[in-house]
Amino acid sequence: MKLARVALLAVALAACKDPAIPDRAGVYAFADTAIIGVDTSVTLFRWPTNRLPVRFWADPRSNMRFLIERGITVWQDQFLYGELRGVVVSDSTSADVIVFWADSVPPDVPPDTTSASNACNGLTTFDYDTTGFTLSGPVHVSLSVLGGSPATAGQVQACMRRVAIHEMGHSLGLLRHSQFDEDIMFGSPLVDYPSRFDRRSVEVLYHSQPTVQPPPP
Amino acid sequence: MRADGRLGGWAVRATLIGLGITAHPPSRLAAQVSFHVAVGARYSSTLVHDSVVTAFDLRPALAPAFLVSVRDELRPGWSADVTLDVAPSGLRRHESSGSFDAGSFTTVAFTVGLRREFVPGVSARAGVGGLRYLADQTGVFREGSGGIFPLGSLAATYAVPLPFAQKHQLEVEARYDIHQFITPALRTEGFNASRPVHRVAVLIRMGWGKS
Repeated sequence: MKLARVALLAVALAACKDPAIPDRAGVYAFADTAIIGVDTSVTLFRWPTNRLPVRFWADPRSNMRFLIERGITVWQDQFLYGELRGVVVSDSTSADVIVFWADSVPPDVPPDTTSASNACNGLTTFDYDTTGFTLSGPVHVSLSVLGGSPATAGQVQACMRRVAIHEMGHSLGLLRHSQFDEDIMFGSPLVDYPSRFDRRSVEVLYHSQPTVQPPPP
Repeated sequence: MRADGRLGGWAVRATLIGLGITAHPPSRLAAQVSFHVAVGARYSSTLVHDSVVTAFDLRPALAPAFLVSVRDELRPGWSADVTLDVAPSGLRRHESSGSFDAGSFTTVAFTVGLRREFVPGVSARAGVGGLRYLADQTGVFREGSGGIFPLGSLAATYAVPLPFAQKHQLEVEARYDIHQFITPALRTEGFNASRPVHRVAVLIRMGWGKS
């Protein structure tokens, strides 16, 4: 009976109240807003659950595929409950997000993280249909080496790692920049990974009701 | 299995004594050991209740359960057992808008229990042990599974009174267990306490050896 008592005690102890839901303060604005006359138009986009995994096509040159696979892992790891999944596809015509090198292709060398040099750039473009509330095609992301930058190839690669994650954040629906340089979604990203505020923001985004739909599959 | 049908009896007895569950007077060393396997289905309560914009639950899907036990009769009507319980399961996020895939995991639980037969064919079991979640390092398990959680279990067993069933020691068992769940990733997220997880399984059990 000793064992039975221990078991009953364990049951009683375990049946305590539920833990409190954590506070998620610090979310930054991620939706675009436009005031047209008296109306405020909110552009809130995220990939819906029925469109997962998000299909990324990576420019086959240099180490773009590595950068995108790494970015997918980084963003997936921000979620606790499977809200986002991504995959790299080999056919650009079936991709949701197309990532390519603009201008020059940087060599695939080990990153030099000794300096947070601003050596590269990125641009994410959404194309809308005539309603403005549905994407007309895949999201395009371009990465480029800044012309005239004195950065070494290693510094360019370190920059590309940051900017690839940053631009992929845009392609996932974080449409605006954070005002804080500790966040990967800061205008000129200085950090290597998303911060807790990036995580909270993308979590909130993926539980929010979008106003913009993805392109037809 | 040994020729006399006493499958690993000394090992079982040593485990039970080592765990301090019960004391065996020398006169009980001839107790009977039997081997049991069970399969069934298990329901689990919510692992995580959270709210991001809207409230939602993370809950295992209804899943199969596989149990292996070695049971040692201590005296008429009483037996002790050690049980390994393995249950692979999908993980679902339940929101107001629907239910969505959130990964998968397998639980492995080890318990020691004491069983008493109250009336012929009907017995109850109480047990304690530990449970571990095995999963890829994603989602709530991205920083690890949280180690081994203490587990308490209760079960009621009914031996089917049919000749075929008695020959194969067929039993129907309803099993309940409870443990506290939290993972390092949930702590990082801001959860500061674990949550009780209740599991209920209905099992068909088959046995070999002396019962």
